[in-house]
Amino acid sequence: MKETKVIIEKNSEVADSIYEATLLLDEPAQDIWAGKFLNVSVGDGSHILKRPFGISDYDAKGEKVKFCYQVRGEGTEKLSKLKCGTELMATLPLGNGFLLDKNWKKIAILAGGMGVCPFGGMGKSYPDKHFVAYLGFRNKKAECLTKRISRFADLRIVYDDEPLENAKNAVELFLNEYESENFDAILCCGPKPMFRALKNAIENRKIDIPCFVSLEERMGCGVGACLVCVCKQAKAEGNVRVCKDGPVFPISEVEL
Amino acid sequence: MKINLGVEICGVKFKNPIIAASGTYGFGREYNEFYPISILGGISTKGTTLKPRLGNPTPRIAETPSGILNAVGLQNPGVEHFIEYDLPFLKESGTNIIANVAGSTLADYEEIAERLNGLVDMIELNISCPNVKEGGVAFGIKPESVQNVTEKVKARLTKTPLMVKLSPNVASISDNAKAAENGGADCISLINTLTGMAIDLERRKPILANVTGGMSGPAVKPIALRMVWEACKAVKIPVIGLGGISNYRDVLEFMLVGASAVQVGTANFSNPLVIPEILEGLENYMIKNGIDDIRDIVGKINI
Ligand SMILES: Cc1cc2nc3c(=O)[nH]c(=O)nc-3n(C[C@H](O)[C@H](O)[C@H](O)COP(=O)(O)OP(=O)(O)OC[C@H]3O[C@@H](n4cnc5c(N)ncnc54)[C@H](O)[C@@H]3O)c2cc1C
Ligand SMILES: Cc1cc2nc3c(=O)[nH]c(=O)nc-3n(C[C@H](O)[C@H](O)[C@H](O)COP(=O)(O)O)c2cc1C
Ligand code: FES
Repeated sequence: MKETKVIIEKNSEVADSIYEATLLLDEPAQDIWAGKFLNVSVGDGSHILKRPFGISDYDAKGEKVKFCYQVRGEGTEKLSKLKCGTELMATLPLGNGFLLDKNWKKIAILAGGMGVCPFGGMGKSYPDKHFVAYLGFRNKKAECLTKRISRFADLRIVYDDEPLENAKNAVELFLNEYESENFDAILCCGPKPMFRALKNAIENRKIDIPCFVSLEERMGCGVGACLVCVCKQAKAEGNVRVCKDGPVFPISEVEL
Repeated sequence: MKINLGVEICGVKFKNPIIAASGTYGFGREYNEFYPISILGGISTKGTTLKPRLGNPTPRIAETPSGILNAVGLQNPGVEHFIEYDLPFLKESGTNIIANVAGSTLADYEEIAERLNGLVDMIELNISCPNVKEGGVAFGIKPESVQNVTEKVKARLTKTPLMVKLSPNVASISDNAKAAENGGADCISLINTLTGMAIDLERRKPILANVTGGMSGPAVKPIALRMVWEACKAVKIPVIGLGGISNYRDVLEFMLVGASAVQVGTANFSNPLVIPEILEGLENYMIKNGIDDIRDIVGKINI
């Protein structure tokens, strides 16, 4: 991880209040892979915390990264107004990212809403694996978020406002196909209720392949020092830090 | 021009007056990935208690204009874990180790002080954590209790100097500073965080799970500076200033009102490289202004 000046190369609205930004790094960053995140300033001194976003794509030299963000509060609002060429500061890459066993061949991705973004670089990080992505979005407007993932994964999509006959959400979509697909692992990123639904399904259906979730928590330092972003461990005493020990954890090891 | 950044505080030599503030810097491992923490004057470690503590539920942080509120609630692995696991790393790191300690009873404070006596360079007594009921803040409000806990702990510290960290959430900072001095503190540090609150308007709920939290960051600097100035006038022992410091100019302001050294906390969140940048800024300022010893700045405010 390192601290570097970045220049906004692109920052454009790709759907209603959803933006994609490309950053040029002043100092190239090593060790970027899918599931890691960056912490970026929003270009305004009164917002003293950087904002965390999943890295949705990166180039081989580590000179360029992309992330997608939804305008939620003041920081993302500020960010969305920034012009190309604006200088910001970023800390990256942060977190453990998705670490896939070399023996795993077929991987199920489950994502809800903006949760699809951190999977964007998966095809680059793991070109040899077969990915099937089960995605849930509020409505068709978010379809643009599937562009990157469609390049390397088979897609199954469900929209909240047009539920399918046999599936209302991404978890149900996945469960319908789970028996026949022979997956080696499951990766999930989305809202908390999605994690809980998946955890229940894993217990009820006795799904015994490795399953990982990528968590979100409000952060201070973003580097593991302040203990602000913790999550309770499910099996052991004590907390884990989402920013440093995660954001990706085995689903059985964290309280959701 | 050869310049001196070194300071000496109650017999402990610091290579420079910049100390990482408790709770914002862990035990140094993470920032050591950005730069060698040996460059620090010292590190005040995460508030440690006798037994491990899980801390408060999340969210533990909220952003406010030019500041933050935190309610970590003294999550820490306990003093034995600190001694076994963190202390060896810190000893290797080559910076001064200031162990920040907290407790719920007087006996806790005495026991933890005795356990750490002689093991670290200094003990910082946290009697000012606003985020846990039993986090010592009860000892930090009234001057009589500040003096009492300071006396009790000082009696156990036969080998290690004692720094008492003052809460700003009090009636008179001068009275509490004097109380610490009368209790036998070797030096004092201030300020800890100011109690505050933030609301999520949509949900009509507090942002922090703990409802209230401790405010820090640039927004508190003017208050901190005023309090450090008052404390410096009230006591003869060294004062370590903190609260909102985020660049070398802030450091110089605190030293001008009388602080012998400073601590940098929240600014590490905004910029992980803030401490090396402050050190560089200080050196450049001194060269530019023909100041060859940082100690010549201390207390040199013109009023
Ligand atoms: C590891 C990680 C990866 C993320 N990846 C993405 C992504 O790829 N795309 C995306 O749109 N969003 C992502 N988020 C959520 C994103 O960080 C928040 O939406 C954003 O910080 C909101 O900032 P704001 O200034 O608009 O909101 P405000 O409410 O004004 O922010 C105030 C403070 O709260 C924090 N905060 C508010 N909401 C969240 C949240 N949901 N999670 C964490 N911190 C929050 C902010 O960072 C800031 O410190 C991610 C969060 C984490 C922890
Ligand atoms: C996340 C966080 C955790 C903190 N934990 C402690 C602690 O354990 N013990 C302590 O004495 N002060 C603690 N503090 C207070 C800081 O050490 C410091 O007094 C305060 O933040 C003001 O300085 P700053 O504005 O430079 O951060 C904490 C502050 C923050 C932001
Ligand atoms: S944000 Fe500081 S430890 Fe995770």
